[in-house]
Amino acid sequence: MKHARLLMLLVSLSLLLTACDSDGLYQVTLITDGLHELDGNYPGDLLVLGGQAAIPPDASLRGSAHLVSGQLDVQGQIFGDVTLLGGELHFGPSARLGGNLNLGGGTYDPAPGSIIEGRTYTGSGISLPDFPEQDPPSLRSTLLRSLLNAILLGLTAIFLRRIYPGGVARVGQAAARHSLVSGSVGLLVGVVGISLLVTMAYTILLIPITLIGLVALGLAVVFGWVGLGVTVGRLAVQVLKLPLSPSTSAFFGTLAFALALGLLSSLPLVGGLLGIIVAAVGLGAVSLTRFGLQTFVPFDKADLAN
Amino acid sequence: MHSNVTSRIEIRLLNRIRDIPVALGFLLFVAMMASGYYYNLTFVQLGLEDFGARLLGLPSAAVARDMALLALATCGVALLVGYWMWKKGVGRRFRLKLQLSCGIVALQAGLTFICPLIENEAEFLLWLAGASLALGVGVPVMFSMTTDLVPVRLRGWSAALVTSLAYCAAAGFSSEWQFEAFRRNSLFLLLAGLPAIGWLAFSRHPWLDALATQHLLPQFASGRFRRGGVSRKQFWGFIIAMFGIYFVDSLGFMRLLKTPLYMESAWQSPDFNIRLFIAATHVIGAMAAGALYSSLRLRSLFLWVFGIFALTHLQYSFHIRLEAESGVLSMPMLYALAVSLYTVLNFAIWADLSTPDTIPINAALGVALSGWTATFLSTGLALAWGDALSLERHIQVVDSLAMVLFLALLILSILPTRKTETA
Repeated sequence: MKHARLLMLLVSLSLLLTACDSDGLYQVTLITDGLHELDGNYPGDLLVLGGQAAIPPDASLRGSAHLVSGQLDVQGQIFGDVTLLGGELHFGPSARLGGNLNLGGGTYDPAPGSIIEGRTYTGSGISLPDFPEQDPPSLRSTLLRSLLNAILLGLTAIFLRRIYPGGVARVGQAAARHSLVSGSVGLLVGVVGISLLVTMAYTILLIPITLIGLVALGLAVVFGWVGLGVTVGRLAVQVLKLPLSPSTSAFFGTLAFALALGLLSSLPLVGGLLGIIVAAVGLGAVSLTRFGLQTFVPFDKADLAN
Repeated sequence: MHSNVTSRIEIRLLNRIRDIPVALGFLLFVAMMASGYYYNLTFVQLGLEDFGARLLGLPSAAVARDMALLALATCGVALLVGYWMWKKGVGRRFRLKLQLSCGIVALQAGLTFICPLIENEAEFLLWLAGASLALGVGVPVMFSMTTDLVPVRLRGWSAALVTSLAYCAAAGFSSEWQFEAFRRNSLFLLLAGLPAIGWLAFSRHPWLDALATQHLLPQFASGRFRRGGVSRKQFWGFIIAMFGIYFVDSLGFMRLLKTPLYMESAWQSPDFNIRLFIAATHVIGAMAAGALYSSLRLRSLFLWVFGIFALTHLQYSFHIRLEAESGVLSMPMLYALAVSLYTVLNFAIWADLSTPDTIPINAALGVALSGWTATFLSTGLALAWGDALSLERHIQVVDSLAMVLFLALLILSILPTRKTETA
């Protein structure tokens, strides 16, 4: 049964691949070091982060070139735009640029005879796509969205409570009984985890790992919220002596928790901080219990038990 | 029912009243350690280097050599004094420790006051000898007060408070990283503290008598890691780990200190909000470490520290390679986090590995051998590398070192541990 569920999940996820199309392939060449000369009709974009890149007179670049650091010597043709943020850009006499030239920093050295077909933007004059201004969401839509989020989280709690009851209970227990330790660990995992993922994204090659990591981090936060919500439901049932099944109490507990969190997060000044603290406690509880696989016992207590 | 509740409340109240002397002793310890650490952090480590290089005009190699000499002399004095205190049972004599502390503060105040009178390297070396005497005596004396003033269950929190106060003051309120500013602040602190510690050391008060006997109580006497018995191997393992942390920290930071881009956009930023952000990160990091100290295995905390250092230096090396023209605040934030975590460890573990008898020698071995020696040797090396290595290469070496230590600890943490060990 478990294998069937896993298979279903994999099939569902693989359906997402249908969104990809061979025509939509994006190609970029990254240069970080050394001397590189592009030959022929080069497809895609060019990103120079260091070293030296050259486009000879008989070569062309189909996409755009972005120069962050290092040197780019253009003698041939570039069909897209050229953006200079840092480093040295040289346009030779036979250079031809089909798109715009965006100069944000660095050194630009054009030779007489070089042709720029598009426009040249300098500094803050670089044109950015216009986004229509949106009115702030109304109170009604905010409340509706909060309610929908809370219901979705409540349904997630029912689902997790049914397929993984022990794990949810362990996460909830760690978050409720060891909030300070959970919050501290959650803070470290959050701050260091995000920094690590961003650093990995810089390498370009590790962007897929970054995306997986971000999803895992998000899932851990949601799992932590569910753990806290289920604990709220369980405590409410105990205190109010309500005749509710575990799944129902998990749903209503998580619903109440999510609504309260949404309300607290909307408070001016302290709201954002409260949201971060609760997320950190949940994330820490998930980390301490290894996604609910083991019960967290503080080391001093475990030590005394020995 | 009602009378039961009332009597419970009364008992709690009585306990609290009885705990007030303990609380005051705890606060005394935090104040003394935070002031002492602030002095070392600012005036000794940063101010003296600036004094030697800028005001005396000594070449960087000479300053590096002199600072290394200070480190070794401090280490030697600390070990000798720690050994003497251990053999003579001074670890149990609270009043004598207070009197020694008073002497140290007086000596440091005098030395800090006369420092600008120094005119050449010979006088500077003589001055450093005096400073190493004060620091070397200070390490075992101050650290051994932990078993007198801080209950075992609060050691993580006391270390967190000491770290928070020292770094908050150093990072938040020291925009001018020059000898004159550090000397002014340190003198103010020393001269304000001298009468207070003088009164504590040489007057009689029932509260002080109560504090003097606290080391006899089981909740103060035997450190957390004494319960299962501490092996010699484990003790030296901590010293090596702490040495590695201090070495990596100073080796990287002393080079970043010479890079205006990274200092002016972070620790030495003219923008108070940025310095406040770094100070707040120190406080949050220290408090998190205080909470985690008694709840997690120390190996986990050491892994966090090495891991964060490796990540931070990797970010710096990326940033240097990109030749970016402005600093990014996430790098000093991670740096401050790692520094706060390990400083809390350093303030708590030596007492938790000791009894009132052994704390002077253990603290001397721990703090002097790992902290002082590593800090000043790496400071000397960083100054020497300043001319020989490019910034990128320097940071890459530090990053590699942090990574190697992280991986070594990771491998060690997989190995099984003895059941009696608690670290």
